[in-house]
Amino acid sequence: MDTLKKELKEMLVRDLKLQDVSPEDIGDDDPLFEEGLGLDSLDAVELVVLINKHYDIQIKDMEEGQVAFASVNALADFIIKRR
Amino acid sequence: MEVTALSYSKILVVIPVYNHGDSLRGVAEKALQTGFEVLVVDDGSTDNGMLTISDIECLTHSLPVNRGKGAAILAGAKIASAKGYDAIITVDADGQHDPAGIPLLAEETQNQWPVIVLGDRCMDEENVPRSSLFGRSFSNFWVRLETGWSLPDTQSGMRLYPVRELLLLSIHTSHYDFEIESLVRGAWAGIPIRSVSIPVHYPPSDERISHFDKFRDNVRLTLLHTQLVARSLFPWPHKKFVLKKKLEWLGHLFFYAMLRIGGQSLAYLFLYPVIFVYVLGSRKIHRNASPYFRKRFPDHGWLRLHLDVFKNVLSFGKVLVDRGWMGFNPAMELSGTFEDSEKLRKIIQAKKGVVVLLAHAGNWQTSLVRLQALDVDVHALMEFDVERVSKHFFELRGETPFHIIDVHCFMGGMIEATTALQKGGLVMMMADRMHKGRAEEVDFLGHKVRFPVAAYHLAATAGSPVVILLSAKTGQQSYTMALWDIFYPGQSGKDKKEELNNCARRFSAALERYVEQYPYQWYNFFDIWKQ
Repeated sequence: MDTLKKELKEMLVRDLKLQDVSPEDIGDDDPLFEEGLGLDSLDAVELVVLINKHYDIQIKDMEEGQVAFASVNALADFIIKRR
Repeated sequence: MEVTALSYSKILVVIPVYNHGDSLRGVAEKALQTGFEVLVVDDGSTDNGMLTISDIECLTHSLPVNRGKGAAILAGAKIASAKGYDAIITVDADGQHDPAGIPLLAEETQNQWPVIVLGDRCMDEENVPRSSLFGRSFSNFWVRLETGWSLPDTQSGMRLYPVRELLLLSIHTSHYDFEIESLVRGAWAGIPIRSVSIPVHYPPSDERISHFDKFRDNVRLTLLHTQLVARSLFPWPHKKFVLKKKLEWLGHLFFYAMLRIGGQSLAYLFLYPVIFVYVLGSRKIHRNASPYFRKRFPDHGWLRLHLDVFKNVLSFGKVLVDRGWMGFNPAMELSGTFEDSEKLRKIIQAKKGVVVLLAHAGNWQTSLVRLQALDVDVHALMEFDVERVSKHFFELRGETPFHIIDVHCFMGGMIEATTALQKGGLVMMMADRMHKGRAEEVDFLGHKVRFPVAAYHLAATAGSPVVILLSAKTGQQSYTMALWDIFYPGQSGKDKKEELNNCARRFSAALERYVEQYPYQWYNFFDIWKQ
């Protein structure tokens, strides 16, 4: 689980091209969207495609997304459940 | 138009409750947390639910006998009035409404007052039972017919009412139909109606207790709508509290009547004098439309510009009449050509999805019917309220409607849009109007504008092409549709920001070519150059 979270944090920084943030800075429970990491809807698009590409999971709709994208913890939980 | 705002201390949250004792406390507490005063009105409950809130700091009132939700709300309004409140926000006690939406409704009163604010429950169509979706569409349609207002969620029980006006309306219904009657009579009285997206929580169906009796309440609603439609057609003026939107409301009903009597031609005929007066009396229209004409026709003087605006609004009026006409007349077919249908078909067959960009031009809504003929899932990423109505006209005609993704929901609907594209679907959206989100500055008709770039980012990330689809009216019953550009964002290897800017530029160039050919058919009615 911890390796997964580390992987996710690295993916966020690298693939979303986050400036001035390193994977270690991201807290497991930090909100990803709006506050915390401050991602926006365009980042959401990227994230959907990335999750599909790296973990072969398709996020169906905004309800799933809202739950899965709440934080790194939530995302990791979601991936483990759907694998 | 003067804007008088309302003070938040004058807003009372009213929670009517009938046998929802288990969820009542949670709702009341959360409501109090928003900082507003709360009044719980017990509509003759038999489960002693009021005991669960006896230690909470809210006002309470109990009706001796169950009289219906509407009666409870009115009782709440009377108490609010006696205590000096100017507005009430109604919240259901069953937990469906998230009280976090209360400040969102309240905020709208800062833009105008008085106002009725509806909480749009913004429900994803796949998770809501078909019967309630149909009920909602049906309700929205009738409210539109009766009042002219296009609203996304006319059945929503979470709303803000102005107290004084609510008590002055002569509302006869007291159950679930109260919500419709109060809305329609409020609109007739001239109170503006606004919609705001609110969060909802739909507990799983076995947990939810709804007191909506399918048979009895649907009969009530049918009777109500019959009565309201009849009243709306009867040429006797309504009691008006606020003298605004008169012409527009009148216009809707008038044209429906004209269409019924004499069809399209008669309605067109009456458009001329009506639009003439409308444009003449409205500084706002001229202010919104002339910046475009001044750039499109730089050599036109004051008089010709006014004529240009008139032609523009007239042309738009005809498109609206056509839409109404098609809605009533299932047999009506518009003849037209879609020149590039083969190209689009090939793109769809490549199974990489496609983003279709539209603009507020031609008869963009009715021409969407063509897309149904293609063998692909069509999704519309749009503002719910505007498109819901046009979608409803298709439902009336028995055609398979497209799926709407509401742009105001979580993350602007982008998640659904991405999934749709990944499955090879078609996602269409408007590209000529700026809403929230990233934009790029490009030239349009020689001056700088900002066009939204979400569509290009979406396409690039999902690996889909972008096509620009525009239609134009070519005759009384004929249209033409064409692809004004096709491109593949994100494949040029350029820097992302530069790529998005390029895409926006391509859109701008295509739109310039369109208005070059059809200058009076672009209906943005908005000064997009204003920073």
